[in-house]
Amino acid sequence: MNGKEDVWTAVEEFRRQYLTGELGHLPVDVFTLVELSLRLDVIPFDDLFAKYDSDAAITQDFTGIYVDAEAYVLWEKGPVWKQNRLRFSVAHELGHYVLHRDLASGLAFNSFDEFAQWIRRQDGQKYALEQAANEFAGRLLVPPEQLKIHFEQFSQEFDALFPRWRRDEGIRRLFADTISPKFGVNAQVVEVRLSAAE
Amino acid sequence: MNFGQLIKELRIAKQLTLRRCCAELGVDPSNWSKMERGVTPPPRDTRLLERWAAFLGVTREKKQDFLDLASLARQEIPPDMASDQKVVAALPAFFRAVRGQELEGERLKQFIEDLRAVHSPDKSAAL
Repeated sequence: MNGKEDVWTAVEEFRRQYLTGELGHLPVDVFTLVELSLRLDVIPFDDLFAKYDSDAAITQDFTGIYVDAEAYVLWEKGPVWKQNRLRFSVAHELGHYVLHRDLASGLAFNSFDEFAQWIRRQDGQKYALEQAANEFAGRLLVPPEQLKIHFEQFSQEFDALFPRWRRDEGIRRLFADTISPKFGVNAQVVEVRLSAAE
Repeated sequence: MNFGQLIKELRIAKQLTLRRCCAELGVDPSNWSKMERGVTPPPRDTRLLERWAAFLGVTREKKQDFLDLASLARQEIPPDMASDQKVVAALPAFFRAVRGQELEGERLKQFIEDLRAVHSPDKSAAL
């Protein structure tokens, strides 16, 4: 279910459909996308992160996304890493929206107990769903063509100085730190995308 | 169309996200979101409603309809906490904790009560 290539195809279809014009710029403006293009309700949830370690969660009817109220309201005023984390979390929920709507309608919870059972589940299916949503988010926010362009520019500078830099974790990290602001993600996301591209 | 749906339509027509709209109007996004979702009734203050209508681009001809829908919403929206049925329907489809701490036991119960608050009228709504 949702192998990497299926996810990549879904991302590119989604990008063609929605990320055009102003929305085609990076970093991806996830809230304009969610609220104005998809017309989903953004539902501020007080202390969602502080109490439950989560920035965002899509409703089971797929009409809204809960977001940590503080992170959402202070979006442009808070620390960049927090903004990046929320951007990734919303993109992750968008991944569920695009990839898992049909599946989730069959999993719909009819009681709190059913929800609790789902939360407790630690099986391959649940893991695969989360991985697919992560892959969707990473690919959406860090388009591979853009990553390649930045990587090649960086390579030209470093190849002459350090021919083996590609195996050097420190320099790879430097690359991720340098270009992650262009995508509005934290450096770890760029490192994962780099590995996925290799 | 009810009042909540109307203000959501008008906001989207103006290409405003919830946060941007609320920042411009000086209202709390949680309360505005509840109003759009028909959870919290609109305020009684006609001048405030007129200011919102003007900001959202409601024409003079449609202003009375806007105020009438607000009045109707105040009569229709119950002041009670959300029922279990409503909260179950609003559960998240998935839940991903950043640090991998799953919801269990008391934490899960608290989460459900916090979720109920998100879907219940805010009695201290300071719009």
